[in-house]
Amino acid sequence: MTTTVPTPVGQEVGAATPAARAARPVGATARAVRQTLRRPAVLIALGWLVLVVVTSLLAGPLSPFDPLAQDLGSRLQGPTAAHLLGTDDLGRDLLSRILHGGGVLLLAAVVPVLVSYLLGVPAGLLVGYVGGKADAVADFVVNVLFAIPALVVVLAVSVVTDNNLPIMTVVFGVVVSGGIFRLVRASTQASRDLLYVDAARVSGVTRTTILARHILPNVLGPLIVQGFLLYSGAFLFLTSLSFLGLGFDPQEPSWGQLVFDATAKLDTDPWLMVPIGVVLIATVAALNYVGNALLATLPSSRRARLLTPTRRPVLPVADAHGTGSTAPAPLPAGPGGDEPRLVVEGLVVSFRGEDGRWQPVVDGVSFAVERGRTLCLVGESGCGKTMTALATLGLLPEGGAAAGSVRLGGQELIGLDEKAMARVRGSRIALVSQEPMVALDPCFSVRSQLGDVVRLHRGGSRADVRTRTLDLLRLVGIPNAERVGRSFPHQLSGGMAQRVCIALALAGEPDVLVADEPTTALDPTIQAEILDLLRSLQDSLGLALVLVTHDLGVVADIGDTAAVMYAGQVVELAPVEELLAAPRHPYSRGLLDAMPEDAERGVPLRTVPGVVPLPKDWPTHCRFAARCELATDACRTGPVPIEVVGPDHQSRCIRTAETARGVHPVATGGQS
Amino acid sequence: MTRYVLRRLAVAVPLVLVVATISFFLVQLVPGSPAAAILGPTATQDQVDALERSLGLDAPATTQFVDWLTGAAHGDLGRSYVTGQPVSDALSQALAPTLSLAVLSTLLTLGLGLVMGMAAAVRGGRTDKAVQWVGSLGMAIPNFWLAALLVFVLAIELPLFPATGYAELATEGLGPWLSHLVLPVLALSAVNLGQIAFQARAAFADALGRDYVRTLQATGTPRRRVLFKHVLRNASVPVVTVTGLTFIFTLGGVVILELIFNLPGLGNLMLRSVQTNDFSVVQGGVLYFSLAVILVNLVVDVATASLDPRVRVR
Amino acid sequence: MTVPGTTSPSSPLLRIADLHVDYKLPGWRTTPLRAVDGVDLTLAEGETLGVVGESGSGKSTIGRALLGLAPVTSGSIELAGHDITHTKAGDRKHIASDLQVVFQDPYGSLNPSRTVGKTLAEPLEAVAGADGSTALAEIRGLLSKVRLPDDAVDRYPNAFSGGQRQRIAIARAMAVNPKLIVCDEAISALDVVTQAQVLNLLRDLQRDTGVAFLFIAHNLPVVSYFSDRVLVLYRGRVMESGPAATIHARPAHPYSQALRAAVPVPDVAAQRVLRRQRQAVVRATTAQARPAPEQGCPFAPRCPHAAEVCWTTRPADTPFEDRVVACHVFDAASGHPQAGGAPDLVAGELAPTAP
Repeated sequence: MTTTVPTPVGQEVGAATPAARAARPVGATARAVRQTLRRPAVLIALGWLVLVVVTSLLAGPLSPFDPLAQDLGSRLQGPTAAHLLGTDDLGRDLLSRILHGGGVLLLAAVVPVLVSYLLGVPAGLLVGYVGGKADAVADFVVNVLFAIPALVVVLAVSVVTDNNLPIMTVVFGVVVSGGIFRLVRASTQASRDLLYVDAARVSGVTRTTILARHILPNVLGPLIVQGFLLYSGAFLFLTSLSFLGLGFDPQEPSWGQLVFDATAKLDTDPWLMVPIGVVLIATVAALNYVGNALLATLPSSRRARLLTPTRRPVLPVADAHGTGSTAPAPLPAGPGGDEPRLVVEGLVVSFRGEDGRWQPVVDGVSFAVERGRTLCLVGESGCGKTMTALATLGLLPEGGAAAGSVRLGGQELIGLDEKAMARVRGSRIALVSQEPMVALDPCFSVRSQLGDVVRLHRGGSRADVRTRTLDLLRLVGIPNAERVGRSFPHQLSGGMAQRVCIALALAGEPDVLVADEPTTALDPTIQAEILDLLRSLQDSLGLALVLVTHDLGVVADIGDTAAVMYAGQVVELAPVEELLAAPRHPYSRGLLDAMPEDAERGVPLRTVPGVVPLPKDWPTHCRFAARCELATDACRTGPVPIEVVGPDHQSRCIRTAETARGVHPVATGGQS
Repeated sequence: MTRYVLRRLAVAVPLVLVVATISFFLVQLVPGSPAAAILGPTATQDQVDALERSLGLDAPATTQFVDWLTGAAHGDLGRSYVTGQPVSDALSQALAPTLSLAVLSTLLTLGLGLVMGMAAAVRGGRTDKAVQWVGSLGMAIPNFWLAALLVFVLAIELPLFPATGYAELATEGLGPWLSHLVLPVLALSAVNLGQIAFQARAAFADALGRDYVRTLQATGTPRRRVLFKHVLRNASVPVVTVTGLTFIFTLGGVVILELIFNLPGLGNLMLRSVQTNDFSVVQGGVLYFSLAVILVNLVVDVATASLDPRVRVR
Repeated sequence: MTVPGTTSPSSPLLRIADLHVDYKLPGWRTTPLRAVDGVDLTLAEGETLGVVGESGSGKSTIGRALLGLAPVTSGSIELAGHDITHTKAGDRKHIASDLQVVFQDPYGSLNPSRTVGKTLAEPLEAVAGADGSTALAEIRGLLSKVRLPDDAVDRYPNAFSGGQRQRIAIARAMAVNPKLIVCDEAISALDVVTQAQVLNLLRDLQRDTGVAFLFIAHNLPVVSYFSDRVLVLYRGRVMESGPAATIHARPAHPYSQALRAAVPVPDVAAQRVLRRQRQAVVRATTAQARPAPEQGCPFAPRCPHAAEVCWTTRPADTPFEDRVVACHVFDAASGHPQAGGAPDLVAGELAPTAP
């Protein structure tokens, strides 16, 4: 048996989870389906399927000859005017035999699909929703079904039932129903625990309504798609049976039997293979193609590739200055005129849109960090903080490219090729990322991952690597390094995993550590521990630290300098103490005022109205103007340059002079 | 890990029992008596009764089942109703070609599928398109038709490989054994290759977007090592799982290809027994095939558990 | 609204007594995980009770048990005088009119394939049996209450930002005029500005309708800013409970102190003090700590005041000033070396950052 038969389970392994797939509104899916059905290739495939069905239905009137009529005078002819596709060894017309040979097959293939849906869908919905013991029982039944090779069982059934085709198709349907059951159960389980289903339960919505309203729609899309693939599998399976001479009336022509006849004359008359082969392959291919095209319309959570391309993309010169609305700001000079450890100047990060245009998400960012100092990148989500941080390591996700200047100890990193950049990473600049629980490879132990990096940077004997690995784990505050080293990432708590990530980052003894929201996913007491750890490491190793955070409390705790980012730009760059005591940009003031941590109980918080605009909606004038209570017409006339407002203090606001005099409404609850 | 394997074994044992039960009672569903079916429509009632007695078919079904099961546990599956040969002997003799075909095809599809999926996911663009076309085409060609095509091209027009037959590995050596298997293995693998390649493509695409890729690259680990050590291992887990699932279909394909290439395997034996109403062999054959599937799934479970430690806790 | 610090009225809106919730862990013959371990709480009409704790503290489980989404092992839950401990999801229609929820994840809590109008109509239909046309008027009113435009009715959730979605979720909870809303980390996923917007909205709604909140979160300063009374949870047990203002200013239980000191404040000088304190109020980091004892106090491994008794005996709930603390130091009869030294502990360890 050849098959595309259901590996629906296959599709669920590794593919996006159904929950993630479901996260799209109905309108969008309907639109995607309509667009797919209009694609020429899909139309051709559908057209072929319609043609096959119609000609099989009208086989009688359309056939030029009786498919059974023998004409020994014209045996084994190639295509002729009379016999368009030639004749077989008994002189029967091949075209007529093909026209007559598909009907029963095409119809019979519907039976397994129906049977497996009738069994699999209700059972999957019920078991998926109820779970518990029913699940264990159903799982065993499905395991039994999956242990039975369908063709072999149907062979046995053909003996038992004296070649009864309907029974054979039903049995086949039962055997493959396990796949449909698993598909439905998986989608149901994923939907069952969704928060909106919980919300419906809380409102007392009945179980049937929840199943019909919130769960079935999520299951339906995959089911319809699976229908095409299952049908194509069943069709191939039945063709195999017909090839073996089972199930179908040997007197009537059928497609599998036509192939069988052709193979007998393979050495003398290979032409016999061609027409039937084309028909079979085209039909199965069309079914699969339509199925897969529909599958692509289901919402999926395709992840952007994080592996760097072999050739790092370069922003075209025209796009290398972002929107060009901002001149690079003058950088505060380092002590003694030496260039600081890490200097970022006029950094632009753009992503290539579907239309091929480059959309900047970081637009002319400049800052510098000294040895042993910490610079915090602060702002709300969508302001470009993380992309700025990743661009310094050359680790932008798929589709992103950076321009401008990133200098590490005097060396320009933008424009380095991937090989050279890999040598810089880890040994001179390293990264600690936001989600420690997914930042480690789940398949390797802590010891193995950390050991690899140690070996990469220092080499040495196995014992040396081992000693250094354990030392690193102790360095990041893990006392039982041996035991943690043997653990796999899924056995670690979030705080422990983050310590391991920091050890990984430090393995190559870098000068600069970039930490992208290293504590956001952690509990408060764990956050405090990690901040203390970063600070002590910085003191002992002299690290320059770039820390991305949205929490001004974290900034106060660990930062020396802060760069407040808004809509891809730095809007204020200042020593932390100054920024928190007397912010000079209205957005910085807004962030500070919104913090409830030290607000007075019972007094409403001061907030900034509205939300951060998407990159495509960035105006050319002051990007904060729409939300700023100080905004005047002058703010909406043109790009606002960043201005020096004090020693080491810059602000991108034309009314900074007034903010300095305290024109700002005084914050409630904040204290200085 | 040992505990995990033991747990999987504990699940497999009842599965084997249920499958054995199904194998037995499947044949019990024959309307009328198997003896009548064997003897054909011309037989008299006396002849049928005599045959039933000699085959032990006059005992109650449950007694027969217990006897058969006890026998099966000792490797005795009864005797062929037609040839009188012990069923287990007949099946064992036919095992080698079937296993050769199934195992070679599985390894080929797994290896090639991983490579194709990886290339498609990593390189994208034209490579991706090409893999999708090849995979889709493979999935659309019926294996019996492909077999005929391969025979025509590689055995008749260009006589590179034998068109039919089988050579024992033990007696005739590696070369002949392999050359007899090339065409059937190719014909058998086309469909699953597409399936596995698509799965691998999805698995690689998923693994390439995981955070650890970024973490590892940030430590200076070269791109190639991230790809071939970490991404490959993570992506292999779902691919190996799917290989286990497609094995059922591989076995189905084996039956057909053994017929076409005239290999003396289990599939051919089954087909012959089906034609001659040799129920005891059919019964044993279903059991053998099912055991093979259960065994392969066990191997797959152990393989995924050794690749991914998270599987072991399940 | 209850004045902070005063006792609750005689018949509270919500009374939870000795609640235990066990989760069955996956796998064969595993010991169940005790998520909530003997929690008592009461909540008056119009009051806000903050429940604060870290992951694994059982704070969300309490909310889910109350909502009928987690199985109650033992104990009782009484809402407006009715016992709802074991009321199944299907029979919750009459409870739903009193009790609603706002979840943490504004992306997961709205069905992406249903319009905002349909989402808001759901509780109205289920609870009040409202039909389409009467519901529409109410939905318009709800949207204006949460400051969203009228035309939101026909749009899908993907057209809205995280903060706007959270407003929709709040509107859904408010649709049936409940007496109590469980806010399960309702602001934890939001940016600071949006968080402030949502907190203000919740406060306005409470002022206008007198709804009570069970406000669950992991950030003690935020919880104490927003709540009247606070319950500090650790590993399924209540460590300390009392008026929000005092727990914020002078946390008594060593764990509350650790939690309070762990959240940094946006002020460099104050944070410098707080940082020293947070290092003083825990003895061991989580990475160094021994596993918590089966008996005894769950915080013992990290507590600087832990003594022998803390490893062996479960601390009793001890009244201290205007709150209740489960710590041997506060219990004069506990046999702890520092027993009865509570005032020193509270005065010495944590200099409050607010005046």
